[in-house]
Amino acid sequence: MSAQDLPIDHGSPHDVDDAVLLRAAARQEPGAVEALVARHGDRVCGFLTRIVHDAAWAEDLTQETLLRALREAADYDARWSLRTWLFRIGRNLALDLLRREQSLRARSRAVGFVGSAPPAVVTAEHQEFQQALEQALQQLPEGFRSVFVLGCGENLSYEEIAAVLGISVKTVSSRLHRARLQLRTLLGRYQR
Amino acid sequence: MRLWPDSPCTRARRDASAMLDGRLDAAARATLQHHLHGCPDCTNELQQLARVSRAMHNLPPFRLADGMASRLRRQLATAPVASATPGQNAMRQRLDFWVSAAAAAILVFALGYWCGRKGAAPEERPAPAPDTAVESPPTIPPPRPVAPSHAVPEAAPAPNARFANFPGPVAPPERR
Ligand SMILES: [Zn+2]
Repeated sequence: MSAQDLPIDHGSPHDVDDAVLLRAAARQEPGAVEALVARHGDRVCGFLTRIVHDAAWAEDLTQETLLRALREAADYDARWSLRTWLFRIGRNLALDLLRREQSLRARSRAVGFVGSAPPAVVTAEHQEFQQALEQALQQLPEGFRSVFVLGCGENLSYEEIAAVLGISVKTVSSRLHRARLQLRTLLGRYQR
Repeated sequence: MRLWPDSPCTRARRDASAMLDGRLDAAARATLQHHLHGCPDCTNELQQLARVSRAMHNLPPFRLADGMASRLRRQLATAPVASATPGQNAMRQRLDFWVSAAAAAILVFALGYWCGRKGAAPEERPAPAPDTAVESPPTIPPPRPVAPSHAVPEAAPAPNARFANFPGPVAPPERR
């Protein structure tokens, strides 16, 4: 039985191999697009929100990313995780968008936690720290921010981050360290 | 080239991130841990870096608004995926190229023939020249079309017109 013929178990989408799911979704098999969105949509959107700092843009970008992936499903190289590939497509789209929208910083639309789930029960102090972290992230250069978000938020390996961003593993290592140092400084007053 | 060897603290701080990410080999990890035992400053630094990383990991997850899947299905229905089998895209593009080349050759041949009939006497009809397009195949494969053949037609609704001209996904580099 080839991987292509594996049944899609819509009840537990995480049991299905990502490559199989992607092909099934590209063929528009019932429930497959939903399963793909359920499995990867939130993470892709979270990453893109931190690149473009705008929840509505991030959602549009997520939709375009998934659409691209579905249309180019034949090009997916299963040696990489599907999430790595989606992050790479999404980041390229996001950077293109940012290049076109130079006035990003001047935009009045506030983002903060827009688009994120309401946090679980957390103390006001903790929530303030999280908000400060989101703001501090926006002060990092995009290349550093993406490395940090992918490494510490998404737990991607150095190799996977390198693949998403098109940089060397050594650069990933040094950017991750410098991002941590900068964030540590920016969040100095929260550090005990 | 370094004139002076790094101090133990400099080395420890440089290795701090690699330690947090599990990228230090056993020997370097042992050296760092040994240093941390006797150096509260470096221990404090490592704890701060760890806290920043943990905080990132613990940020609340994003939640997409409902309706993404149905929007995607609508878009796919408007312009369905042409092929989900590896290799077929490239094959289709090569076929498209040769079909276009043949069509162009026939058109040029027909035009030449027509002009010849109009302008020259039948016995002076010039030899048709346009077969070159068919006889000399390109040495490089045809480039991927900028707008794929399955792109959304002009008249179709384009919910994400902002992205209409964006480049397609880039394959990840080879794993080392
Ligand atoms: Zn020290």
